[in-house]
Amino acid sequence: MLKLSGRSNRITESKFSAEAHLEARGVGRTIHDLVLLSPTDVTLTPGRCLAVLGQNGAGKTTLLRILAGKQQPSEGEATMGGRVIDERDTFIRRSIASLIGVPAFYPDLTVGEQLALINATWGVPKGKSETIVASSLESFGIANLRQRFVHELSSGQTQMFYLAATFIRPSRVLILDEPEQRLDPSRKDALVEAVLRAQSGGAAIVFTSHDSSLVDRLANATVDLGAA
Amino acid sequence: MTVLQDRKYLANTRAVLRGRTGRPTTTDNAYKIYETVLVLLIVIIPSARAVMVGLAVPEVAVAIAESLTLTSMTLALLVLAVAVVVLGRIRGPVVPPAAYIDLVVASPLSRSVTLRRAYGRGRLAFVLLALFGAALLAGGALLAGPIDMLGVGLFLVSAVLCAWQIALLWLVGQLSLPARRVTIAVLLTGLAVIVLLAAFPTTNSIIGWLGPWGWVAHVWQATHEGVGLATWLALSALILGLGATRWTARLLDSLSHEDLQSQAQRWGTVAALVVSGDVKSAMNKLKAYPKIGRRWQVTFPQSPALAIVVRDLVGLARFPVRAVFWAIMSVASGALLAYTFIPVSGGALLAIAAPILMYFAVGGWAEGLRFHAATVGASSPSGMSPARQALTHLIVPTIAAEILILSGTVLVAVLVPALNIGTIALWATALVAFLVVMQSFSAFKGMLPIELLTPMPTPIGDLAPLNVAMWLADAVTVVLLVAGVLTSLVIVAPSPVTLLVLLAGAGALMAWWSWSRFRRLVRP
Repeated sequence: MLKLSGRSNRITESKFSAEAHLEARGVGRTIHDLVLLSPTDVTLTPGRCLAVLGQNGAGKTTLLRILAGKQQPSEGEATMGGRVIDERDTFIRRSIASLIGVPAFYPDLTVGEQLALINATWGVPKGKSETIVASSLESFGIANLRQRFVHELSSGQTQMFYLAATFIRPSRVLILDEPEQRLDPSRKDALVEAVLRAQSGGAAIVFTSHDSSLVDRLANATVDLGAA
Repeated sequence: MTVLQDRKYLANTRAVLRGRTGRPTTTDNAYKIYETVLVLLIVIIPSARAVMVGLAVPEVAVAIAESLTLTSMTLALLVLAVAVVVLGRIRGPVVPPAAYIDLVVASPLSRSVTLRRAYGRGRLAFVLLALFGAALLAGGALLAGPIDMLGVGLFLVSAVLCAWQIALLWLVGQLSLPARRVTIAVLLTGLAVIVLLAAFPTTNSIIGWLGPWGWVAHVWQATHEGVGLATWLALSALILGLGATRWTARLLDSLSHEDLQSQAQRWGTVAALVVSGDVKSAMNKLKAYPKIGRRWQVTFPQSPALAIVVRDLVGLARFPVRAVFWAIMSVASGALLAYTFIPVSGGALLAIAAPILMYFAVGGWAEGLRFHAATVGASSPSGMSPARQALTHLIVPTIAAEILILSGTVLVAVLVPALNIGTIALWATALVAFLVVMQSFSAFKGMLPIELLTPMPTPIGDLAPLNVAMWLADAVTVVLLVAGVLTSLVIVAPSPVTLLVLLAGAGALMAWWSWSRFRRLVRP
């Protein structure tokens, strides 16, 4: 999880701690007097896992979008390693992996090919890529679906594929919006293991969830956004 | 249930479904009639008249009489018969609303009862279309000169009967037959026709006896050569048509709920998207999913750019028929471009048509770019920046289109010695580069801006649909404009360098515009 291959994205362990420090101070989002997210503080250090809780419409996804740099807050500021989080910044894009909504994928590639292509875009050597893809498919329990196209997967299998595609890329911070959705209990176990593995590798994780047992198993800290 | 109970059940359920949408008021019905009459008077009748007058022009009439031989007509009808079987897989004649399928078709009633009306509507539309086509042909022949009126009547009747039977093949196509079996049947039919034609080159009427569609061709001959045999053929077609109707019930009973539902949902969505002006999403709904090549051992190179190139090639290879179609279109558009350079062709219209055709041909190779554009704002696990990935997706369409379009232009340039290969190749290369820019301009368009759907009442009606149409066709309109300007300048004959500079200027402007569209997609 920690080691980024390629030319420009190689990072050292010493730099990692400082750069992966994610902080949001009073971030909020308002559109035409409509409050989507009340001012919220978030602090996340490497190897920690934060659960964002709240009722539907409380602003959980908005907060995740701000932390992923996909949306700018209308007040407050979100930073990572001292830099304002904005996905247009290459460093931010390379550091933060997010699964918010349906991720980008190519409908004319099989599940295995999609993962291999993600590896290729990160400059992973061919031989190593094969091992990483096989292990990723295995850990998410979808090794038998390797030759299927995405439209041939069930909704739960599709979610596992989305998770595999998000976890396979190198990142310092993982942002997951309700990652447990549509998953059966055994698949949730696979998700928990993947998150714990990433966490032990030093990644910081933020996720939203309505599943209290998942929050209990994963979160080191929680932020409750309350009601809508 | 008894037949009486069946009818009662069916009538009640239909009443419930009608109640959901509300009965059309008298005003609704009056407006529909007004609309139909208006379309007939303004569009259909003048167009039909223009076509018939065009067909009656002596040179055209002679050309038609020469080309509409017994063999060619029979073959055309055979191809139509095969085409409707294939069409049935995509859109069959029986596409009732999804709610009707769940409430009525899924009931214990037999499907030949519940789907009879839906099939009847599909068949009626097909028969009317066939009758319209036959009437155009017959009308042209009538205007062109003396013709046997009884023969014309029989020809129209035969066309209707033939369409009636071909509609049955359309229904066969809707049954979930294995794709492989359908492909083999289609190939074998084609092969049989070719063998028969090769074996009996002089007795071409052999093909004409193979089925009722061949008999229509015989009857067409009768319109010129006098009726006799034609009467018996039309009568036989009628008997066969009625006989075939007996098969309809059995075929309707064989339609599966899943197939009916998937077609109903797909076409319901397409209709809704088209009404809302979102033609791009509607087209995506109609796109086939990949089925072949799941066991290919695809290896992506370590270089991200090369990996995207391999990805695009794999995507193209998974739709071989589509790839062959785009290849033929690319070569043909290149050839058309070269043809416009022949002085005697004198085709200002062709000179504009060539870049339009080339634009669509280039688009055929840009599927990867469109996939990327469609998901560019979503969470992406890719290690490339969205912009770099978009630029990399331009490699395959540029190279494929350059090679194929250039080969078309060079082919014509070689065949016509007066042409300057170098100049034409330079033009083709420059135009392809411009058209690749225009494809990205179209791909990065994004969703239809909602404000375009706001009604714009004017004394001549609501202009909002015009706005939507202009937004949808913006790239084609720009290509048309640029092609038109270049063509008119060629006629005035400034130096080729000036024209190329103008094209490069237009390309740079459109590239800048595409880039600003792309930025908006990445961060709305």
